[in-house]
Amino acid sequence: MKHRTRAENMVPTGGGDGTGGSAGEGTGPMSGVGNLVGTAPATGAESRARPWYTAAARRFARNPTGLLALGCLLAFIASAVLAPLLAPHDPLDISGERLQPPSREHLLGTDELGRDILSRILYGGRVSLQVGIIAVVIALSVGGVLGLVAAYWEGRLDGVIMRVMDMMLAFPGILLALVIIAVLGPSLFNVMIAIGIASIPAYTRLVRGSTLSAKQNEYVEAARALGAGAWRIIFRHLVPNVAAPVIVLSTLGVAGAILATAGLSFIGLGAPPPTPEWGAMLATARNYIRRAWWLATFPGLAITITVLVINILGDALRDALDPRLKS
Amino acid sequence: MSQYIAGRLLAAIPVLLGISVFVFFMAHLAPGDPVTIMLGLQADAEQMERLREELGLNDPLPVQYFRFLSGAVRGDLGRSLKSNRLVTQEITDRFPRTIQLAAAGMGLAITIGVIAGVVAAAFHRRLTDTATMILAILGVSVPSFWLGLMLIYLFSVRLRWLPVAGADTWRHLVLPAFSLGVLAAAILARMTRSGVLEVLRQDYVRTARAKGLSERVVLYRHALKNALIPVVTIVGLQFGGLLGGTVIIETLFAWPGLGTLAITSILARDFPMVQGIVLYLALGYVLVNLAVDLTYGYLDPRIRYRR
Repeated sequence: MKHRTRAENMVPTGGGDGTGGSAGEGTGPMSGVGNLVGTAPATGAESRARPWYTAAARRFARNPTGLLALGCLLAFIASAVLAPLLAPHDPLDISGERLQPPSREHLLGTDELGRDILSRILYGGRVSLQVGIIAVVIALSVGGVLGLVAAYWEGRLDGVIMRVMDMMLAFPGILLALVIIAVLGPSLFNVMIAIGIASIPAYTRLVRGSTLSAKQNEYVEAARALGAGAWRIIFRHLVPNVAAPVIVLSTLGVAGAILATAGLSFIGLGAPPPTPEWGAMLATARNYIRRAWWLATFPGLAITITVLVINILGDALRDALDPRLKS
Repeated sequence: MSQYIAGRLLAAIPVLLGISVFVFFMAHLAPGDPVTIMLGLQADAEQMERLREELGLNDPLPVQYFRFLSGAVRGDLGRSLKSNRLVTQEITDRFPRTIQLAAAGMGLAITIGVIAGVVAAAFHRRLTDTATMILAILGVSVPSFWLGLMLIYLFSVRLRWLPVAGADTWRHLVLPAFSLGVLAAAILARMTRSGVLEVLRQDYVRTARAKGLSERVVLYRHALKNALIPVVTIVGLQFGGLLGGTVIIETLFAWPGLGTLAITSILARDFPMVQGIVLYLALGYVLVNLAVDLTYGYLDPRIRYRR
């Protein structure tokens, strides 16, 4: 299918039109991820040159938007980790009257049972970030290894792997995750696995494309001539070449996974009721939309801002890792 | 061209077969015995065995798969474990609703996305461009169902302009279609903008400018057509996300389409139904991408004659 051919033709073109939209959960601003392939690490020619990431880090440090996004994300992570210290109330305890609007005691109001919304949002951040990161780790480790293997050995193995990926890609967006949840049963843990598995093809294609072009480098040939084994070549010489685009895709992938988790919880296939999860909070908020706007407003803002910050960070990373995209 | 069409059609067949295998084994991998789901836990062993034999569940898996496949090809996907209605019947009742929603969402997305992208590119690095791109990144970050919820609050609860939920008139379609389309609109805006900017750097655009053509003519007559070719592909890919998104948006707006049916079926472990829905949605996605490929070949002859 067309997906595969495009992965093979992943030659940097400089435009922003990449294959991004198709990746993973159809998350978003992945424009140009494909264009990074094989461009960033220029270590091939001069073997003792500075590693590619110092230059990238310097470029990143010059981008105020990116730095701001990174700062915000670190703050969000800190607030999630420190939720037990920061939260004014226990997220599961009934700490006030039901459906109270924001007040001094409950800064973001209380929910339909009288639980403090601010505390639930803080604890919800733990769930979202955790699920987002673990889903991406699953997708990246499985998809990455498959992509490396497919590209390194090519041939029939490559064909089989990519056919399976094509099949997975034939399922639109969140539908594949939905199918997996249908099999495993609804729970937050299964959502994590489902989103992880559903995102595998995006990583496989990206890693395979980058590896295929990295393999052309002469130092790979040299390493092989010196007797280096397959896995040594893969991990020492090919993986660093693939890192740049994968970092970008993974960052954006966390944003996508957070959105997908919230969506699946919203339709009742994710976190079960008492869990403070942003999507699940919005599901109950829907029933009280006429009476209590704060129930629906704040958890949604939390999702949007978190995802926005990660997306901005992803864009900034792409600019830093592939300067050629900056016109 | 006809050779190209035939090639594309043939290429879709293995994908469809793959999907059918996947969908079939999904139902068989799942924990939970369909016979128990149908008869309840207190059914006696003999009764269960009889039903099992009747449903062909005792045959080897490949035999069961081919029975499933030949049924599917003839439009027979079995019966719902829950309602005992024909799966195809229930799906064809609801599929038009989902298509209606997805088409309206995509229509909005294309209109908004392409216009915003062209405008942003035309005002490259000016306020309009920046503002559009900020909106676009917001658009890919906001969860569609929360946006929908906020729109319900504003337009249905506060202003009382539009209904909260349901699917009777076009007024019911506005909010769900918009909430559904925002993500694709934002992505299309970014793609269109970069596509137009890319084309504006081409030699023939420089030539057109050098001839003294106005910037307007250059943009609309020379740049736009070529810039939109990659956008067509993105539309196809986004359509998949949109179909998946209907599952969530339909729940929010109580839209009687396949999405709401999918969720109730998953929760009830009604696997023939889930199988059928997944098959239909995946088929819809494959067909849309086929249509996109064909459009693409039509727009850009280079693609047709390659290979």
